[in-house]
Amino acid sequence: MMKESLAKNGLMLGAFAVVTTALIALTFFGTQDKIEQQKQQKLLSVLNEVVPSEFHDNALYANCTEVNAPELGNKKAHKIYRATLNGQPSALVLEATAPDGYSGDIDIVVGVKVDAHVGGNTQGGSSTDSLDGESENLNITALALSELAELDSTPQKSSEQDENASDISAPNTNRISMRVLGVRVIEHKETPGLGDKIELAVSNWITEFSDKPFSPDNLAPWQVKKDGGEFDQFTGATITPRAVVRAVREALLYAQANQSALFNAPNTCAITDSVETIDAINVNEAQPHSVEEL
Amino acid sequence: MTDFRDLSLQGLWKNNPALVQLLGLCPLLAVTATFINGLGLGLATMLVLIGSNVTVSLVRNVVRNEIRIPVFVMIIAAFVTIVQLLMNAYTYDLYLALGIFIPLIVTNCAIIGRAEAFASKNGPLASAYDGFMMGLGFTAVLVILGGMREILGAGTLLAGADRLFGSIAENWTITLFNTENPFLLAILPPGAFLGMGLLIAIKNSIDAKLAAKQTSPAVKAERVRVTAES
Repeated sequence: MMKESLAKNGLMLGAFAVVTTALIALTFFGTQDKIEQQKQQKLLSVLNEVVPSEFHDNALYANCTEVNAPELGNKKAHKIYRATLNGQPSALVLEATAPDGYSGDIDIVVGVKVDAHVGGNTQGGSSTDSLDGESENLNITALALSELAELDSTPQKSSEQDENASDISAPNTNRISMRVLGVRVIEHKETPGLGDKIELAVSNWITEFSDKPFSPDNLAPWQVKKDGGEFDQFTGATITPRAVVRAVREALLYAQANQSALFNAPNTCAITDSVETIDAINVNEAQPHSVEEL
Repeated sequence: MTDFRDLSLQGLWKNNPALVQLLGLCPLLAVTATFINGLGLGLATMLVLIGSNVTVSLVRNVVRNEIRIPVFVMIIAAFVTIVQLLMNAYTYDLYLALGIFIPLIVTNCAIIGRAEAFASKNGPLASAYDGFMMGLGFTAVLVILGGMREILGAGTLLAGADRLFGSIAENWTITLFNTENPFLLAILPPGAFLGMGLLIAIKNSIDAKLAAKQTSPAVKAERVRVTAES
């Protein structure tokens, strides 16, 4: 008796488990592609927001490299998208994480305009091998040069940014100031009503970053106002904006130090099947942006 | 036969899942910082409640009594996961707006409570209606509480409506007053507890008044002698 009812109940529970799991699995496989596509669309619209279309003419989402850099917040792999204009490197989009948010990690993307002649292609460049179609004018020695530059990082005045880039020696190019194109928060768990103002949907605080020049020699403005910087904190929530500003600053420093290496790294973003649909969206969603030409 | 009028009254007032049964307080208190958040969670909960009620009602004669609770849990969890996946795939904007609330629905005891108390004893149609009414009652409380906290805390109403209704709702935000300093007590969780307590108190006082009206004048007359109030 006892055994019989146990067996029956067990079987019935098992049957329900199988049926419900099967239903979930079916739904999962049925929606998997669609979800992936939605995520890519979202990513693409974010990429277009942080690097407006006038700054790039390549397929931004299909040109990236993955790095494991503690400077970008944590040890997870972060993707860095590379924008080129007429074959010249024009901008970088860095995924970064603010590990010190009020409730956990805040994932952001930072779009930054880089100098077209990054790394200097006149000095020491003997060969002009193109690594791939997107970065023809970069040569391999640029990588070594930028590493050198990191070692003897003599601070340079930002006025040098206006000089013709090809005349500047490599260490100088590594120290010119950059310009932020835009920052967006991808994912966060901050308190609704307080910390979530970092989201563009809630407030336009995040646009304070847009079009801000950045120079590693003058990091003081890159803090919230409470700490003596330029960025507003929220009433009742200072930790969240502080974490975001810090993450942006660190990402910019990283981009500054590794520009040419990042552009020279092999492309790890394979082009997917849905390229055509995404290209169509690319055209539709490319929003005009208030960033002025440099 | 189940009386549909009675079901409506039960769900909306007499047996309101939030105010009377005090179920699902975890998501309720967590997300009601704004009107729109409350509405979003309310609608999602209602959908799951209807779906799980109907399913439980359909299998109620197959499932043996001893194992009904684990089976209900499986049905509800499966339902929530499927709804989440479908919303993720086909209503992505809505999913982004409600994303955090959807898994919270599983933790809502109101759903298993209705499965156990109603759907496992009634037909699919009545169960669906019960789910709808209970969901409506839950949504009403969420919306009132969310609106209260939003007005007190930030001085606005319907902020972020476009996340739920799309771009047409961009200008729906009503600013009642401008404040530099949000009233933190209303926005943070303590505000939710206080607001919820107030709502329950208001409901109870209305109930008490109704009960007083219904009782015969004779009882009232008796009271006159006992208390000095009337």
